[in-house]
Amino acid sequence: MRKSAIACGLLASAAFTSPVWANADVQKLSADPNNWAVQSGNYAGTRYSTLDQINTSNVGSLKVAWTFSTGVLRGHEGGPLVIGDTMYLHSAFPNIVFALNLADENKIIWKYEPKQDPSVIPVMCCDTVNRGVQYAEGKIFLHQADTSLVALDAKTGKELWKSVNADPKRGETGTGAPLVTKDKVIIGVSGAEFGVRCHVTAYDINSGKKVWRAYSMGPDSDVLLDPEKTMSLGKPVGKDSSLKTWNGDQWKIGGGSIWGYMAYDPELNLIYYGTGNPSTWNPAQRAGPDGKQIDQKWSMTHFARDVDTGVAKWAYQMTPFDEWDYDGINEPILADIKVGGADRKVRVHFDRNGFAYTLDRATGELLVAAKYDPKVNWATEVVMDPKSPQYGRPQVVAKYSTFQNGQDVNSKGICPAALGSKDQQPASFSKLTGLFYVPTNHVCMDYEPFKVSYTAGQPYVGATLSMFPAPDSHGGMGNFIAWDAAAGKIVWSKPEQFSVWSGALTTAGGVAFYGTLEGYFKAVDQKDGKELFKFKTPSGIIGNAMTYAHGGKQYVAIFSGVGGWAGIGLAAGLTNPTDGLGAVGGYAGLKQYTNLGGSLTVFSLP
Amino acid sequence: MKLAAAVMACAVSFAGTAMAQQGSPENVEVQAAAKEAGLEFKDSRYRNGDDQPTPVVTRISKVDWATWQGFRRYHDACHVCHGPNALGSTFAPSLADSLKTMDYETFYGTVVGGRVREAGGTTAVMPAFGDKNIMCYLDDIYTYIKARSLNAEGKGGMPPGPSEWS
Repeated sequence: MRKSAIACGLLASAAFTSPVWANADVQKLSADPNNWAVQSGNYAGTRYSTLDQINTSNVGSLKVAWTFSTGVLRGHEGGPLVIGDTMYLHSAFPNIVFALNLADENKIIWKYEPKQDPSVIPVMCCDTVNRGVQYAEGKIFLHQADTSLVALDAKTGKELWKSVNADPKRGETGTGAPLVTKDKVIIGVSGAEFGVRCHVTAYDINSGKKVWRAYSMGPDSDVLLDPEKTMSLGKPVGKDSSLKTWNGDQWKIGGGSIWGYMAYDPELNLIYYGTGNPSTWNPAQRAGPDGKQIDQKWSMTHFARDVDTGVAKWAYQMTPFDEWDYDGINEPILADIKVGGADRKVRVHFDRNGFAYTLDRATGELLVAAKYDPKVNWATEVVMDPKSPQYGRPQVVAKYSTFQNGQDVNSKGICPAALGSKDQQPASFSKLTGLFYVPTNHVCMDYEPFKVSYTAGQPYVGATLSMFPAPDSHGGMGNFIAWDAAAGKIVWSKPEQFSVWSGALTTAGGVAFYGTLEGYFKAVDQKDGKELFKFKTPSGIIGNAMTYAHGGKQYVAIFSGVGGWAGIGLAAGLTNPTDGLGAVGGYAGLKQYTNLGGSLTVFSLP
Repeated sequence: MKLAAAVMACAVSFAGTAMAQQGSPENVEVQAAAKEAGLEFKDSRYRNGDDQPTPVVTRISKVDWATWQGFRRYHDACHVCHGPNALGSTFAPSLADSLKTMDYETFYGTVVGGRVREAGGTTAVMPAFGDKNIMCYLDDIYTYIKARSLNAEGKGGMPPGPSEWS
């Protein structure tokens, strides 16, 4: 408030300062469909564009307009931003940032290459990916692998400030895209596989100073909970809601990574994000003092927090006492839809655990929880009756409970696999159809937990698992689906040979775009999933599709550059679990289809 | 010092288990295969003439305890970079291939000391491991990967655990 008052008073002389908060700047920029000013397209995270020059009738004739190599071989997640004449894009480690001039042959305006200690590389679970830079008020924000948060001058690439968020020597790393709201840039931290107690932190966009930090677990003052006012499933969380659900001081190495895309509702002044798995993957080591399941709050939780203070408005834990590594980090998408005949402001997310959740985004009221892959078997349902003591909780099937089966026992045929029915690859909400378009995994697993000990900076996993395509299905490891978040139903499902690890884009032209691990960039009809276009890019795609317009022409672009967890789980080829040592793997490896290399491919109509 | 103590601590606690497994009746086939290969059971595992840990795999894919334990421990910490079944990933080499040429001492030294390699302008880093989850099972992990490297080209699969031995 202070800042806006000053801004109003000094309006005449404030032409060269920032008369508005970053969110106003970003909102204005992202409202212009020529730009792609936020990684998720807009604060709501819909990844929807009103551009319609490319549509269902002409998308089949798309041609490559231009390409750009990042010069980096690792997995490339996220995507570029476009603001006016400039495109900003990043690479995997060492996290190079480029600014390209769209008005002049896409020339490189500047290049920023941070110096990072390469010892961070092996403590990054699952490749050295980065989910993209963000923009606000003439600055580009980069969240580096080594957890440094850097602000660059968007015009020159000059470093304005740098803040160190955490310590890679303890296994703390950075992969998630920042979220810039008001005068704050907000980032999470990864490291649940190293026993890190993870957190989300807000920094001042002008000084880089830390404003608030909210841990995923610990005392109320660390988690930024108000025992009376922070709500969960319609009730206040109460005092010590996290501490009470951990055995002793295990919360100190409790995990709960934050690395998915976040969303923001300017009217409610709330940010939305999810937390990951509790450490370790061996549930027996996390049991309560009585040897029984204990919730481990607030791991596996979706939060709504006040931007200014960080205090949680509400929290909802999807998977209490995780036994499968179903991180709850997947991106929330804000939409206004009719649920049960009433207009609702909701936030929808497709959880790793295979359930899609529709919640009222102001109150956290649970509206819909339904499986978005029919093969999901670890739980029968999420109880929707507020009077039930099990309200909001998944009903775990004993056969697939790695805790009930016990340590050193191989629990077989659990669906989904630890990859989740969906991982970080963001879905899209189309305002045209009112449906969500979701890139999914169709993979199951055997999971055997065992005892591990904690050493700072060393892996703290505690389970061995093998993954395979969902049995008795189409044989592939992925689907691209259309989802009705009000009804909790799949509208259509398009099978894919590999997990769809690429973020989706929908447009007013009626098209949904995504990439595949083999490297195909695809366009399908939002109505029925009919494939309208495909093109094989230089490498497998784990990046997110985006669109922009320049000089009156619409472009669609996507990173290729295979890697990430998908590159680990699939490069070698998944095997049939019933085969013994020495048996031939039943499924061809991804390496037969594609090779490494980060590059951007940009398409337009001829 | 700390490392040596950790290794000793786990050698004591797991030797008993390994001995029990080695002597259990369902393991007769493994014992027969080991005898045929001229391996000796010594210090809780099968070893070759050079005293190095060596896997035993029967025709129907039964394995010795150390290989099975190595399978589990490999798929805990190692597979996140080196891929399922030690077949490699987009950013770390296939250890099943590496152990075709890398000897036991070099393997041991690489895990303990780490390794940095530049390839095509991209830095690959193997960290130095020093915790119990790895060091206690290093010979088991070696044995498992050795079993994978002895496998024919292009083959996947995993050794069945004790629950599947009966």
